[in-house]
Amino acid sequence: MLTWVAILLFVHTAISAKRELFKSCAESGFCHRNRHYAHEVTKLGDTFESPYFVLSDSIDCNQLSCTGQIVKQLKNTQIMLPFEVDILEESFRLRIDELRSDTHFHKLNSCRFSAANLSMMHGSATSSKISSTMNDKSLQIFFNDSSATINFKPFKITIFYKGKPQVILNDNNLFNIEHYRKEEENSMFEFESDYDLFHDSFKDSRADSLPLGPESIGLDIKLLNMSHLYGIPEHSDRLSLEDTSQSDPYRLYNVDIFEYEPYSKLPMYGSIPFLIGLNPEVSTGVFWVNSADTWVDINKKKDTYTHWISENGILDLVIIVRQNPKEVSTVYSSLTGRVQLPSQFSLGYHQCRWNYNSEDDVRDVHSKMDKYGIPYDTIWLDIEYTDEKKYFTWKRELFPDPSGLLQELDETKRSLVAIIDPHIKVGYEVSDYLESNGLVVREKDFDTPYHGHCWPGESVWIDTFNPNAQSYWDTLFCKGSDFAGSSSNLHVWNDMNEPSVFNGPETTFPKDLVHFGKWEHRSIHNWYGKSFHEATYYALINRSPNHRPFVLTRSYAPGSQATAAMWTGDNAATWEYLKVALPMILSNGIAGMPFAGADVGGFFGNPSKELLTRWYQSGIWYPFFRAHAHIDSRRREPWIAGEPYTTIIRDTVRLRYQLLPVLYTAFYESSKLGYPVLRPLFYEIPENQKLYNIDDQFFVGSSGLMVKPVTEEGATTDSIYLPDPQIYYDFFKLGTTLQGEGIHELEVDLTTIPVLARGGSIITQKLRYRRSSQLMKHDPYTLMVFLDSEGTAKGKLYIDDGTSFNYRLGHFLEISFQYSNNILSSELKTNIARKFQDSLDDVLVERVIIIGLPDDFTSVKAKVTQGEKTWISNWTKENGYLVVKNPRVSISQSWEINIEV
Amino acid sequence: MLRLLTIGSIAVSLFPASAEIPPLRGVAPDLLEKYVPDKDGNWKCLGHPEIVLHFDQVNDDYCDCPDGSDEPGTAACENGKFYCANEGFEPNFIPTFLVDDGVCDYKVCCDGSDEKSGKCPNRCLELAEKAELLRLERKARLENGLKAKRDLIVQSQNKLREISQRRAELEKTIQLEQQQLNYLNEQDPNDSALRKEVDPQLEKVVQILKVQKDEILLLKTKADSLERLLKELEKNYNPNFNDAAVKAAVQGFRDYSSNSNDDSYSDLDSVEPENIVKDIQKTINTFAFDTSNDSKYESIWSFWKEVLADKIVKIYQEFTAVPLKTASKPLKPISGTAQEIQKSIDSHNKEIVKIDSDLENSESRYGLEDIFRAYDGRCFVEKIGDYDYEYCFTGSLTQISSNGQRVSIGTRDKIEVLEDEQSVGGYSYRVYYEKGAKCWNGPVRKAIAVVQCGDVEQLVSVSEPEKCEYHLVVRSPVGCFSEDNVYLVKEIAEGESHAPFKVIPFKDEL
Repeated sequence: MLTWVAILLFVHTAISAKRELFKSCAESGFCHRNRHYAHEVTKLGDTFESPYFVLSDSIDCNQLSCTGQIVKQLKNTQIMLPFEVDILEESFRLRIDELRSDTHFHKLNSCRFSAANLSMMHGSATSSKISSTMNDKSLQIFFNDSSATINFKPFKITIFYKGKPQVILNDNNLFNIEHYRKEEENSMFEFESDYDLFHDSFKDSRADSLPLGPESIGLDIKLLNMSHLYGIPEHSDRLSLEDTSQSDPYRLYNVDIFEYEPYSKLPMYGSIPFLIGLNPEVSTGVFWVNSADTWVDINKKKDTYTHWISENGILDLVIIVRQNPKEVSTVYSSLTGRVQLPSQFSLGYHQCRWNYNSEDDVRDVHSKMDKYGIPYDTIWLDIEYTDEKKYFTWKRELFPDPSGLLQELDETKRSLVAIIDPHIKVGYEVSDYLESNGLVVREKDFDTPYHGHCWPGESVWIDTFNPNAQSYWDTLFCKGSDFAGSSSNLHVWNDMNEPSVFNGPETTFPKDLVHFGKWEHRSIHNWYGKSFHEATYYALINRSPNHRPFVLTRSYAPGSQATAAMWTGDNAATWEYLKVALPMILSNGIAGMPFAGADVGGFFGNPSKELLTRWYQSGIWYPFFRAHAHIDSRRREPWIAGEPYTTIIRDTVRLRYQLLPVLYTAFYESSKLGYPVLRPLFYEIPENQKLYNIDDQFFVGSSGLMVKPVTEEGATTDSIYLPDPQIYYDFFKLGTTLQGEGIHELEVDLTTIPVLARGGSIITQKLRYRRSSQLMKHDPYTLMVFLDSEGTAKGKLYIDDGTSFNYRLGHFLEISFQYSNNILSSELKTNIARKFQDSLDDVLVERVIIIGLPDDFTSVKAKVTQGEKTWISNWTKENGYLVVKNPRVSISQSWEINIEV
Repeated sequence: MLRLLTIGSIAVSLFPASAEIPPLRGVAPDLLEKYVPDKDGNWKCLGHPEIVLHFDQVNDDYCDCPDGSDEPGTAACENGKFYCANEGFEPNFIPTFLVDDGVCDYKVCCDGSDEKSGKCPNRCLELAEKAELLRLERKARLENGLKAKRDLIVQSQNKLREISQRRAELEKTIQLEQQQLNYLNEQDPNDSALRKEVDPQLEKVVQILKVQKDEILLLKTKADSLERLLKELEKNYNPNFNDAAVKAAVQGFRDYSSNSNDDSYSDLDSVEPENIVKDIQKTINTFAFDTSNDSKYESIWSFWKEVLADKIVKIYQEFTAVPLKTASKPLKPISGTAQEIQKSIDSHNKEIVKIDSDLENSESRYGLEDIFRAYDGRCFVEKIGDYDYEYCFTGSLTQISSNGQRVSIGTRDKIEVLEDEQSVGGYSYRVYYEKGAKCWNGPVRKAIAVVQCGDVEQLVSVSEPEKCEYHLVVRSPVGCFSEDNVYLVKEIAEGESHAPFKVIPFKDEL
């Protein structure tokens, strides 16, 4: 009987995606055909003759680019495929289009879609000059310390970096562009499959009219001497991409994957077709600029072959070859944009639940946070706050005075985030306006507004590709609107923007819907979520032009990082999901989307108290730190677990707040250079190949803090990998050190978070508990100086007002700390806006802790100098460290503390 | 996390003159004498005299004393206590994390001294006025509530009196019935013509019942196949494609199956109308009587009519599974056979036992002085959010959706009185409702209603902090308590000469 009950419970709580709702590659017409093509071409080997070659007469080079034609030779005719090669951000870019002369495109745009044209490329990306030489077999292009050789027949491109070949395009002859044809005129090569060329036989998408027939593009990209690749999120999988020759390819197609499974290659909510390959000498970024349904096959040998397949669009590709991953990230982010410096509050703790049911419920949670001494910055409202899921309305019976509530939250500088989704319930003023002004996504007849089902029942979807949608969207969020009132502490959560359509094929839009610009949804699908959260971002900017908006999105695409944070969607309260959250977040960081998090506690189900506690210990390191829970789960705010859990969770959340200066500085660096905030070990030390498979451990920015959260149930020991020979210090038990590359065993208990500080780092913290991050503004800093074996250390600190865009006008401080020869000095790198600097005069350093000093002194003198003044500070000596007490230097000016031993 | 010891410090502090904190900020007047330097200018932590500081280190915004005593006026110590004088109102100690964080925490520090001077103007007078208004409002509410509570006490005491009257009547009736029984036992009954009259009628009943039974079984088959269809839907519907109608249907069916008793009709198969009729005939046989004496026939026949009516009611119940409420029978001594009279005596005795047990521990079900008896049989309906809530303090709590569907949240289980600062008068009742309708895949619904002081009954809020566990705040005069005496009955009895009733020590009387 007991066993029976246990089995029932198990069956009930086991989470699994409804795989049958989503196409496998074999069921997806274009993936099926391209994989078949790859299979046949490989089988034919040297006897295969590609129908594609470059027409050497067509080549035309100038200072910035080379253009020409690729010919696809059919039995009776030739298809012309114009191509262009140019250099963006000193990286090789290739574009291949198709001359589509047929005029019977119904009403659709006759061009292949260029995803880059939709602002994917950041405005600031610069082109470089090239030089070229050509003979009748090939064209050579030179740029910076790189070059590319384009072989005409067979068509093949080799990219050289520092004189060595690094990447070969079409080495396997998988290049394939399905040219436009009519069904009645179709003819095939014997090595091609005609599977689902003009029809879709998958059960839920049989209605797809495929008005343009087959249009797919495919290309193999070979990364030489590389067996480790990272990126192409979003997948709930290991960080290092796996060989797919025995499985389905990784799929990039934004879908609402209900109850997704950990460790799977199924598509998820977001798509970034960018990966970084790695070896100790070279890092290679591959950016496949495409917004359609895309599959990526990976075949690992000594070199790694990747096979990219997209349903349509032009072929647009940037290959970034550099010395290390950081340089690749900087290039990629200058193409797609960098993370907006987050509003300070959004790096604090976010308390969410589906749902806080009423204003009183919100107030209750709000006051209990203070009662239990748990700092928090943001409380969230899921869909139930609305009147019948009509966004921009409030259910007044339960939320009679949202403005009053917002004001009350603002007293302690807390914010409210409310959900706004792209599906708009039919039959109220918002959907009426959208429909009557042509701002909704339409059926393939270009006329009928598309109606589908989502939370509110029958809904329409805003077409945020329509520029006119923005000005209407602005009015819904503007000051004085019903939704936002006059507050400036209301921010927005964009969910379900894949878009999720309950009765749509693969839970999303039919592909033959049409958007503004006469584009099929098929062409822009993976971009829809981004266009939606961008519209929200700009609406918030419109509301408060000098206030950094916070927008959380579930669906995302390249460039989303500039306007939104993301989270990994609907996970579940099990240890597996706790584990997989880390590689997922790290993977997004690699792909330029650093402001990422996973629901702490797990969305579905009820976490055990231990799991919840461990999840907080992991979650405080997520760049976006939010606890969330499903409506059917039990309440699990930190005080519900009781002791000892509540105290452990409280101290864990407080640690996040103490380290906010580190996190904020890491975001600053990311906003400048495009680096991830959480970095896998190999990202910092790419020379060490032993680190390439480690994805449960990370560095926090450039701070030198290395963390390996405990993710095993009942753990009493854990191991941490030291990536280099440097000294590593226990961040909590000062004086305890580890050294020597390799695995180190640690004893852990429920309170343990394995955090080490790398020798040579200076960590800046604010140790005082305040109710929210903005109330810490004038609190003093504590500096922890972890000496390396040479007795030196350095660190960085970035400060601005945390809310406005004034930092763009120089209202910020960038401070470098340095310790050497027993002198700790602070140097202001930037010193532009005097007014801002003065505003920080009263922000002091209250404590300097120096760890790793030789232990043979009994007395020191801590001489402090700032400006013209010099004074002596108190100190105490502990086992393994020295504390300089209350040196009272202001953070806003340079200073020096001389430890005279 | 950081344990910073403070020994071994020998250096002299020579701070720049940027500290603007008055040395004795945040110190309570009665502690001022402890914040004085000794002749060397030193000072000792209050709780740790072994730690000697220079007096400059008091309120220097750095925590030296483990007890936080060196930083009463800054936020430096995690465990510090800051004294707000709150002139014009009541002084207060606040945790030092509230100090200098930019927030005027007027609720605890109305003089604004928790922030640097000038930031937060003193609002104590204003707050004192508000507090006074609030006090008056609460006082008025309490007074009106207590007045209304007296009426409820009267009602509840009346109810109690009715109960004790009923009990007395029952005892009297039993006595009479006993006499009747004794008389009947001396009679000599005999069987005859009745059966000839009754038998054909019973035959008719059998025919009707057979038809009814067939019809019920047919309906059951139909219901079974509908349930099968819905089960199929519930199991195999696609949650991703769930349009609202399908979702509502599935949810509705889940609620339905959670609460339906699968075996409600299963007894039916074994119930045969013939057997029931045979039972009746057997009873008639057993109680045969003489028809020769007309007057006697009359009286006995009138009794038999009741017996038969009873049987028919039972048959009806068995076939429809609907329990018929037995109306409270008028208390007159029954006339009938010895067995029936005995039955009646038994049932009356049962009722007495029930009354007695109801009166025993009644505080846990009716509150102090049985006050909730005033609400027996009374319910209130109010709308909160999407639902109407029907709450009966001594009965059930029901959630009613806009389409009229009723879901039981529970039935009154126990009532207790607890201290409650939120309620005027300092106490409130908790009414616990248990065993409501089962949630799909979850527990049975239950609720706690906090009954606070109000002059009329009013539902203030309903929340569902956990799925299917409700929390209600209700106002009612029963939640009003005078400050010094939570018992009213005695007070009323003693304080008012024109007391509407005399306090009866009813239990003793019974």
